[in-house]
Amino acid sequence: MAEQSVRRRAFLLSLPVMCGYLFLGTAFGAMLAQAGFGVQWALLCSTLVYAGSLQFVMVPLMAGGSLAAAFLTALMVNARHLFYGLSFIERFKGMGRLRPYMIFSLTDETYSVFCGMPEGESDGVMVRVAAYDQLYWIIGSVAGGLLASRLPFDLTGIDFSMTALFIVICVERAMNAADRMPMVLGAVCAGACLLVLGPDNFLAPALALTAAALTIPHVARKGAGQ
Amino acid sequence: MSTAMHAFLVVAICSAVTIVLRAAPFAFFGGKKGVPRIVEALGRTLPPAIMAALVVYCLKSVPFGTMSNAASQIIAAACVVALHVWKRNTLLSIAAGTAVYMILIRIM
Repeated sequence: MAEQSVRRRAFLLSLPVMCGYLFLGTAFGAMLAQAGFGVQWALLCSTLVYAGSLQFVMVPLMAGGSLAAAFLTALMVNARHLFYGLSFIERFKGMGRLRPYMIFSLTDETYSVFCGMPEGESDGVMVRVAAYDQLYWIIGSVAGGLLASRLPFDLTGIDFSMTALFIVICVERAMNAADRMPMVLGAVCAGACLLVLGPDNFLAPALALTAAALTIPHVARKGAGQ
Repeated sequence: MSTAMHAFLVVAICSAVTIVLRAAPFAFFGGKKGVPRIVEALGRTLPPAIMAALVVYCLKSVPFGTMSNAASQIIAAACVVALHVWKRNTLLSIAAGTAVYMILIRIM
């Protein structure tokens, strides 16, 4: 593929994330500004941390609270990331100097765009999707810091585009019969953990439970001597 | 400790923890020995399971929030599914579903 069409394809793939990130990033930047941290802090957080939900819960901790609390919060909120890399260990091999950035920038949204890609997608498209996504997030948070609460129009609800993106990827994957059982399992585990543990911090236990349930057939087969 | 110093340390800690978590699977299984069969199988079955769990995560306020907000999310989500099964156009499904949601939360 020519450079231009690689860029074009990456841009089109990243469009749904753009809607979500620009809005959520703006909300983050505005929240940070309200807590007394200027644009340079928005830039710093979105460049170095680059993790949506953690950045939101981080803001009150930046204003006060212990460093130990910051450590534990980061661990709890982002524990789910332990599971994302598993699917890309082989894929990111051989990406050379791009590999560290691919690992660093593997957010929920970038991960989901990767999951929706056909096999054999080029490195160039993947790294651009990753970089565009972070760029949207940085632009959004800086804009939020500058505009704070003076946004000219009410965009409340536009972050639903993220939910819609995840749903679309699920529908696409559900067309493939082999993916249906894991999907049902993931949804059931997440639903059960949500109802039992409540809406805060249920995702990491849910993913651990899902991973355990998915490995049971293999362990059982090994146990049966096959 | 000054406020700026404290804030900077919080950012640094959060950044470091996130990087370690994201890199952990690559550090454990990315070496020459390769990926154990069981992890390789997980790498195939986890993505669809995680995507389904992420949808639940996005809709997590449904059982706990107000009735009208729950209804807005469910209806908009159903629109995305229906539209995508029908047309299979990613951007259309996302744009239309988001528009439906933004309208519903304002009128319900």
